Amino acid sequence: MKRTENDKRPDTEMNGVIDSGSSGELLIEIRGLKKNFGKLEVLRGIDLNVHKGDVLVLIGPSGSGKSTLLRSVNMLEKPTEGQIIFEGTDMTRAGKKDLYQLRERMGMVFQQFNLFPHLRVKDNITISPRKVKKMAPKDAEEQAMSLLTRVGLQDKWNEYPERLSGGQKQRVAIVRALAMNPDVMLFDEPTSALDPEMVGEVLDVMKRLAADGMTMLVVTHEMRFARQVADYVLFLDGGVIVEAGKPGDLFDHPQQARTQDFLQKVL
Amino acid sequence: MIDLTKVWTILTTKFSTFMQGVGVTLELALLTVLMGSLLGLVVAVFRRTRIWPLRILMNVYVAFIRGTPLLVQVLIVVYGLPQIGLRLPRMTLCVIALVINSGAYMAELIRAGLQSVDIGQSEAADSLGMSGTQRMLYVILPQAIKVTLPAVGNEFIAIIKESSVLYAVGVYELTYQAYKLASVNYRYLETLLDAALIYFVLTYATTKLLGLLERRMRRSEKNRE
Repeated sequence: MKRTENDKRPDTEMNGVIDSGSSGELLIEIRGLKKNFGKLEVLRGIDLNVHKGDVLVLIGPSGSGKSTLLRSVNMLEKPTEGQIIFEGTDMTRAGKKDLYQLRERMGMVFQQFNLFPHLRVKDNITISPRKVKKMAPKDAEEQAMSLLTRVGLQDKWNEYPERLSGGQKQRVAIVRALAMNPDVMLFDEPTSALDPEMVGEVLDVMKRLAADGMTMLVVTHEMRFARQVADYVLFLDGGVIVEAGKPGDLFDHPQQARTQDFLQKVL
Repeated sequence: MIDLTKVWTILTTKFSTFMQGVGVTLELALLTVLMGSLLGLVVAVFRRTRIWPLRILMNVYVAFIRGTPLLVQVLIVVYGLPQIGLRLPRMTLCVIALVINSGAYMAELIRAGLQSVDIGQSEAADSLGMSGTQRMLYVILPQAIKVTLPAVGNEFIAIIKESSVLYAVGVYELTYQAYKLASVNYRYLETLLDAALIYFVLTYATTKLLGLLERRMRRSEKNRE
């Protein structure tokens, strides 16, 4: 496997599958994942293990395929080739109903928040628990209120999204995803659309989530966050994982020229 | 010669006759806009389905209706359906014809509304485990309908005017009433000018009313707590 040829860290060498080597049980196995948009090969073969409790941060230049990889994990992008095995089920072969149920257990947070503008904050959070999980409205609201309180937005309960700041929107979006009680959270550049002064409040929520043991896959340009919170950092370029390692190793002693080059530009 | 005073005297002396016509016209327009919206909604949604025969059927329906004259459609329904055994009251047949016609135009309006909803909304719904139906029902449609509402108001105005073709099949709507009056008093110009005047008042008032409603909706949206 090309991407691991020059990589001397033992934990990334087994079968060419990138693995954080952490002790948690295996949650997601990505095998031979390829994605083409027409003739453009965006992902050219990704093999990755995600263990329960891992916080994986994906970095790389724009167009490297990191967002596509993340969006493939919950099948927002249909892979051209390969498998995504989540809790034992291959999502790429799952029927529609199975896919819906698998997605319930994967929360996702988007760059553009994607809150539902026609619904109040409380309904943004409770609509899926009520309609998809058939949770009793009272239980769904209690849970929503306690989650919302945890991110300090209990007073926004009755507001519409348009009345919230970007940072508040993103915190509500995180709560909305958490309300489904997911086993893993996917973050697709969650702070990239925020004004600088609001980045901190969102990262704080994510840090707390990581500290609570949530399994997280995060695509971000926030290198400080990656260094502080990640268990494992993946550097993608040209549709492959070029290098992976613990943040200390990858940031301070990058092995690959492309990684060094990228880090030099962003750090 | 045109006698302008006649325009007024005919309007006032035959006011109740005109108003009967207005009643039928408005009844037709209201029924049509309500049922046409529902039909348009169903058609617009089915045009996005993955079941391709249904999708093609809906596309053919919209293209056919938009590509043929309303009068021909009305004649087909009003005289054609009874021929194949569907003996319904004339008024009912007329509503059916107008609804079939309006449904196609509404489908186009609602389609534009559906397309205006950001793709991120669909992705958020998907990521939360919603099925295609739940996504449509709870996320896409409510937003699309809000965008479409002003256009539906315009469609209502269009139907008020276009329902005048029903004069050809003898439904007592405004144009028919006016024409009937004129054929008795031989004051075609004055009597039909009265009809035109009434149509104008109806559509102008509706436009203003809808504008007011729209502004109020937008304002309450800004101030909602």
